[in-house]
Amino acid sequence: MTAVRRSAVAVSVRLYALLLRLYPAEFRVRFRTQMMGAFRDACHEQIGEHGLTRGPTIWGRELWGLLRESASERVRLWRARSTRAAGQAGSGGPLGPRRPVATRPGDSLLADIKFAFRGLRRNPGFTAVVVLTLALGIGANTAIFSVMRTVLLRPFPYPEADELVTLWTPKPGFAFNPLSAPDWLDYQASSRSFSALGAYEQRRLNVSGDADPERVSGIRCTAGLLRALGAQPAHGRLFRDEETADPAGQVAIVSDHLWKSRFGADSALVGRQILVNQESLTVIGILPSGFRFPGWGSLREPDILVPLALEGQVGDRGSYYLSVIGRLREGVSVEGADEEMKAIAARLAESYPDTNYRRIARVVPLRTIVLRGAARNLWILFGIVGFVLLIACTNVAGLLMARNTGRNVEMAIRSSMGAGRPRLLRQMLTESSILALFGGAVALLVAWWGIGVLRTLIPSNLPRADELGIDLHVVVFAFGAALLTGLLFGIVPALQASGIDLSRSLREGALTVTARRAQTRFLLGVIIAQLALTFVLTSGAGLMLQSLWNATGSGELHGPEQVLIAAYSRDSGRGEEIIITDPFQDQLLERVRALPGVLSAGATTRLPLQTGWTAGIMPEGHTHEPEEANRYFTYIGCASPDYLGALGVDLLQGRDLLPQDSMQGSLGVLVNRTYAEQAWPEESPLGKRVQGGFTADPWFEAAVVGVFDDVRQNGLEEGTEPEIYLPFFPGFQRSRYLAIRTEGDPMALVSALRSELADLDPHVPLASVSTAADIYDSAATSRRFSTLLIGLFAIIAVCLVTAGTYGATAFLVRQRNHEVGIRIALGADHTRVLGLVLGQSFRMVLAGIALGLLGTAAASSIIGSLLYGIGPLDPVALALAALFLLLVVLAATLVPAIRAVRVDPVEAMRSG
Amino acid sequence: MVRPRRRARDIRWKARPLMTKNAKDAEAITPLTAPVFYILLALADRERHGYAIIKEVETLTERKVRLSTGTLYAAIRRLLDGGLIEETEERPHPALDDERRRYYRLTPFGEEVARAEVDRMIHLTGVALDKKLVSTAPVGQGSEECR
Repeated sequence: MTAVRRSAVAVSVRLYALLLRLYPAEFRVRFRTQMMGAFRDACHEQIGEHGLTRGPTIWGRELWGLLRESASERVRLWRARSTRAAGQAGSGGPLGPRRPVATRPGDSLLADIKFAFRGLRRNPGFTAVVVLTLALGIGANTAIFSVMRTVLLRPFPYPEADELVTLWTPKPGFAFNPLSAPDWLDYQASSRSFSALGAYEQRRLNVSGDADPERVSGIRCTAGLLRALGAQPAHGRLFRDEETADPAGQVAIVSDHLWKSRFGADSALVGRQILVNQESLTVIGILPSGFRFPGWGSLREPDILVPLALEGQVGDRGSYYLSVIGRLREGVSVEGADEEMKAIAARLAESYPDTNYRRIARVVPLRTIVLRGAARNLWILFGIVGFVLLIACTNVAGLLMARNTGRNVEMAIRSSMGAGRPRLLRQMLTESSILALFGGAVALLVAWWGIGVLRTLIPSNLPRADELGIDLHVVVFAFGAALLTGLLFGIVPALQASGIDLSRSLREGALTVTARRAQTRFLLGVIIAQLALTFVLTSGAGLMLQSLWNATGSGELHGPEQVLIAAYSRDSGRGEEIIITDPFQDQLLERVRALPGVLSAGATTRLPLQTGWTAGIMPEGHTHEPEEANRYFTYIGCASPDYLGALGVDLLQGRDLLPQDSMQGSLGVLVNRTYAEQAWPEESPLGKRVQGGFTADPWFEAAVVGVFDDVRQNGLEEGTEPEIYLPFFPGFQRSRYLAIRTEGDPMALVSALRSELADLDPHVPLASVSTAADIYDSAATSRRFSTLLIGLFAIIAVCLVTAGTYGATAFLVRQRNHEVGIRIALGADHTRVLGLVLGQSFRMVLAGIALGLLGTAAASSIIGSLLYGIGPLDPVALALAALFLLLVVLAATLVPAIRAVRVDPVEAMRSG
Repeated sequence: MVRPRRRARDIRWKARPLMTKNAKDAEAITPLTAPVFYILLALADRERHGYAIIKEVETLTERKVRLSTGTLYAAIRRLLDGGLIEETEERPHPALDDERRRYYRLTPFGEEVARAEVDRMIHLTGVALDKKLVSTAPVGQGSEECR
């Protein structure tokens, strides 16, 4: 093409572009590029190939076409606007005015969905970020929900589980106390409120004979207990009433787990004899695999059930060890049963004032006993993870809003073509719902992985923790949460995008100034809210860490990693005398002390952090006041000489127990510091006498020979109670614990220990082998678990907030490019601009922290219930959290701020 | 002061018509205006962009009809809004492609409308034959008789 022709084409094209302004803006936007292209092609073909003479022809045709059609378009648009203003259904059909025809609602929804998909596909980066953010938030919530579902929401594996209750007989001031055997028989005989009632005791039993002896978890229970639970055997039968009366039947019921692990799922086990605690029992039934026994804070499968027989072997009315479960009779409420039991308790108090004076009865639903504190802690965790989801939602809302500013022209066109605000809203909400559903689907993956991790970390004392998994309810929750989330984060951007001012948007192609200001305010508000939530989470995590530190810093024992702890149980016979020696134990200890590497060894009936028997121990110089009987309730245990030394407990005064202290007539005991301070606050406790019981005929009398340092009895977080150690008297308890201090690795001693024990008695297994340090370690599992989760959520929140702050600041800075460009052009130096941006961030963080402090104060009671040794408003923790947040936000806004400074003023002002 | 330049935004738009698609409605749109029908005809065999439609129409009508860009795009807008044509996603070979060109094709509804129009013409041709306004002699041969 010659130069002349080329310039002719160029001029024509320019003129054409000018003439295109005759068309209404919305038409121009749609077709301008194409029309220019087509015109250019036509010019190239005609003028380029055939010469300038074709020019007039082209122009004649095009000019006429432009004038005519542009006028027609304007008229059409004007007509459409006025009919819409008059409330009609639209200007008509596709090719001219037609009568309006109804739309099928499904059509446009499908269209919305397809359009939304296309939009998301076109912006894969945006879609990925949004979906991942949502997946993280929804996934975390789903994982916690699955824990809640397993532990709290799933019904108990018993028929009509709401009818199951427990019975306790505490004195005023206490919540729970087991029953004594004589009391149990009286309650059982007199009560009318239950269709089935049973008592049980949890024991560790030795199963031996055909294989290595094994210590298993056992339940001694009455036939009524299994009836109350509605248990059904998988093979054989359950106990009959006469088997749990006196004399006890020599029968046993085996669990599915034990049947498979020890007896190889032998189908002929029913009817065979097995050795339990060296007694021959006949297996009468095998429980199904889903059977769970409801215990204190647990719902586990026991290994073996044996009969509890009491008639004739009743024993002391003052010895409390039986737990009772009953099924309410039809039509009887918990309150009604409670009233009846309290009446029975009153009668017993009159008949047996020594033991039952002021002792009441309490009926408590079984659910409360099994779940205990788990419910509250889980709800708190659920609330916290909900915070994280809220932060994720607000991030996504901000992202959507930023994206929507690029779509104002599209919205304007849709609006001018007859889409009302509700229609536009629906389009936007469809998009956010689709994003949310994708997020929900990926969230299931996140949750599945999270649950896998949770399963390894979850403390085993959380009831039903072993049943954790994803089921239908969890999936429904995930998608329900996704839809709700979609609505939540979608509504504000949708409202904002659909409420645009038509003509101004089309003319300016961007938001109006007022709309922009509103958007900025919204974004800032969102970030501040996120910062407040994150502050609460971060300070909470810091407080939890400190609590964990407080709880696990034991310091009670010296060198607990060097102490081997092992358990065994053995019936040592009963005798006339309370205090007799136990030759088996003495022999065992002698052999153990002779093993290489052993520094010292001892035995006891209760380990640190364990609860156990309590008894009334009356100190010298005190008189018994019936109302104050609780004052003297003391943890009582047996200890061999050298036990406390081996364990690593400090002896504060006096000396350790010696063999001569177990002689009748010169009994010596050890007390802990709490007991000594309570009993004889000003005097030395050494030599003071104590007696067992408050009556004139105590079951023992002894002198204090030593005082040892306090060791916690009720877990890591309860204070220390008074405690006393007697020399061993075998009838006290079957279970024994050995404490062995070694030079090297204590676990290296285990096999030698096992063989010594087996040598002395092959039917007695060694069990529960660990170090003393492990005991303290596992006691902290629950707290460690909560701390880990809260810390994880705080980290996720911080990441989300950082990303959100960065994005919002970058967006806002871009919006203010125009203004910043002007400032720079007018001579503002770069530090001032930086100060502008950073100043805004700083104010944002301050507002967020202030709001967060308010939130922490408001939730302080809830937060405080999770803590140990530190208050929820600890100033150091709060200050650290505030500082951390400040640094994070300033770092996040630094990059956009620097970019703002580097803005080219000319470019900024041009892009407007 | 430099006036800020507006950047035109390319909107890919798929309008939904305000009518349901069925034969009755296709028929209701006929008779079509000439440019519209020509455009439908041009897109009947393959998808084309704007200028290619102009060229095709020129070919179909044996150079008798030459659409201007204004006429063409006004018609394209009406056809798009009515759901008779749609923009395609497919682009030709990159060597031949031009980003500024939008390609169009008939929708099923558009095909129906085109067919309805052809039916109408066939019907009218039949009427003309009945009335002996024309004969079935091949084009170009019986033209003197027809006048």
